Amino acid sequence: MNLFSFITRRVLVTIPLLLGITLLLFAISRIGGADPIAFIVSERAANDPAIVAAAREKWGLDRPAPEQYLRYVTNLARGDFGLGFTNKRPVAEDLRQFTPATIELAVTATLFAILLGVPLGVIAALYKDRWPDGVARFISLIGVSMPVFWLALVGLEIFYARLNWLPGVGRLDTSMTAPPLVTGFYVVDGLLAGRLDIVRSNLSHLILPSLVLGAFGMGLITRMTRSSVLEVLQMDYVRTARAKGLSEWRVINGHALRNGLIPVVTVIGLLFGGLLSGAVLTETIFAWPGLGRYVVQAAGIRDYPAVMGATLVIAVMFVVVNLAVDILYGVLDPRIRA
Amino acid sequence: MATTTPTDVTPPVLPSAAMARPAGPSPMRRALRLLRRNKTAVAGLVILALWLVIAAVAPIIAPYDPLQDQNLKARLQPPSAQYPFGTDDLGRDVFKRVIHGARISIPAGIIVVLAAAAIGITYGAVAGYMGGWTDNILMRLTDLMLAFPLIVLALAIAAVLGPNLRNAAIAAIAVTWAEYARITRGQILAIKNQEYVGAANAVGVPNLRVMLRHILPNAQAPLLVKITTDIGAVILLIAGLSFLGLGDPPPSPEWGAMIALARPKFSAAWWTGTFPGLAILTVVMAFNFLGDGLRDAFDPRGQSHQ
Repeated sequence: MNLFSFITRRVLVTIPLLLGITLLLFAISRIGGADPIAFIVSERAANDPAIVAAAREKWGLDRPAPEQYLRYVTNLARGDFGLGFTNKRPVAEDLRQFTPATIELAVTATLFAILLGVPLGVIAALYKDRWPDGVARFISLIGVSMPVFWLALVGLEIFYARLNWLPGVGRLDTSMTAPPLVTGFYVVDGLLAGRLDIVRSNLSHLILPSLVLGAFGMGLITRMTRSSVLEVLQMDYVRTARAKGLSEWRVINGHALRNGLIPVVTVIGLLFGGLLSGAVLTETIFAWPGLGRYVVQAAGIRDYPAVMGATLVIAVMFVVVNLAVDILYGVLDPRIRA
Repeated sequence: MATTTPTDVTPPVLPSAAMARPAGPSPMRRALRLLRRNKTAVAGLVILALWLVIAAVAPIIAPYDPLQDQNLKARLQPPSAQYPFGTDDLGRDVFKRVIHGARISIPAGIIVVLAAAAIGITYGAVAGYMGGWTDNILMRLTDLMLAFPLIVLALAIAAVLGPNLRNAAIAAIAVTWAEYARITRGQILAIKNQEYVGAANAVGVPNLRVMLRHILPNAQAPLLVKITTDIGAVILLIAGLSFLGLGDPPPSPEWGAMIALARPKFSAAWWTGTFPGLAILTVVMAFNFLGDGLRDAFDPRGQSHQ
């Protein structure tokens, strides 16, 4: 199959998946025993049947479920995620505001995970069953076993409260105001506004939450890299390369790594899901104004439109990243396209 | 294909002797022997055994009543001989609470994963064995479940159902079963066309029996590895949900909830949050160590991949 039709097919497969996600979210919001009306009208008004009926009609809660779903999807298609029950703001606006912070954190965490995980995994594979392998495997196991919210608390306590090496919570120093909104990414917006102090503050605020959030991914990537490089090292072409007298460094760098790292690409999709999950907890602790903290706050007060909207955006990001990984894998390894 | 009779339903336990091989010890027994030689796995087993003993004897060595155990005269005491893990802001013994927490988190993780595995294995077995459009439809649903980051979907479900441990466990089952379905289906597709399955069919063994006696035992290695590591992952997940206030409400000594409670005073009283966190870390690590060891032991190439 050529590359174009491979990509087209992958993209087309995603569409029913996205529809399915909306259907599942809709179903989840229905199974809850609680009546959303209780969160819309005030307690006193809830005793007045007329007000309740009017609210039901206004929010479309009096329509049959299939019709509600249809309305939900057509609204979504128009970019309308409904109004939050509590702040009465359009959820779409909230999501636009909070999404960049989450992406920012996920990207830096992924970078940390790759920059630490790949070398650790390679070292582990090259020194298999010797002490560097043991150390690398131990670190990676700790990474995947760590309760991320606890690591965040301990990290803040040590590096902020005690040592004061790194800044505390939030995206910027408290004395700073956000740069004029262009992309929502403070690094980009700060550069556009010529405010290097904002860029610097934002980057330093990113270090600790990214390390905390990246710990799980680091563990995952280390394990994947190790097993993948080990596999490649047993291949005939590596033996051939050794046999023809190439230096060990050339063998590893030229043959083993390049092929060994291709499968690692696939784990990045998996990793991103883990990151988005971790972001829910990490953002809550670091007061990071992203989707994760938003969805937790909304869940706490059962603000369904907000919870469902944020969950949808997070799921769509996950699907899109996995699609990109699939396509990238197809580009790197033509055998996959068959 | 023949229809199945309900009398054939035997529980899909992991029968070690179900696959009688003519030569050599069974894969299960060989794996067990390899496991004993694997230092990581043994370490995992030892830590796990310790925790299970602690959970079992907690009520004996530390009689504990969440309501009466408060001692307001001994609030926020740092670790000492009397209070090895210190006390919290209500003067409760953190050590007692941590060991009682083991009675919540570990069984919750095991029950959730076993339930999810039972659902997923049945589901995947049906999909794989039936094939055709049944398989297609069933597998689209698992794709859908796997399209969500775990905790996000669990959060949405737990938020809708309401905050308590039971609902957190239901949410955890809901987000965990799909991978078992996918693995089981893959294994069944790989084995379905093997000669011995055809032979069993040919001599008139009903489908369900073929599935339970011949196919599933072959799928047990990857499933067992996954169950082990998943128990750790689910313990993390439930602790995370509890930390967010979607698990057991106070005064439950659930570890995630304890950390949430300790968070505002973490600087002043580090011990209130540090020890429950270490408890989660060691338990989850033990399951991961064991899972890693199992993976190595089952790997027929004898190599420590992954």
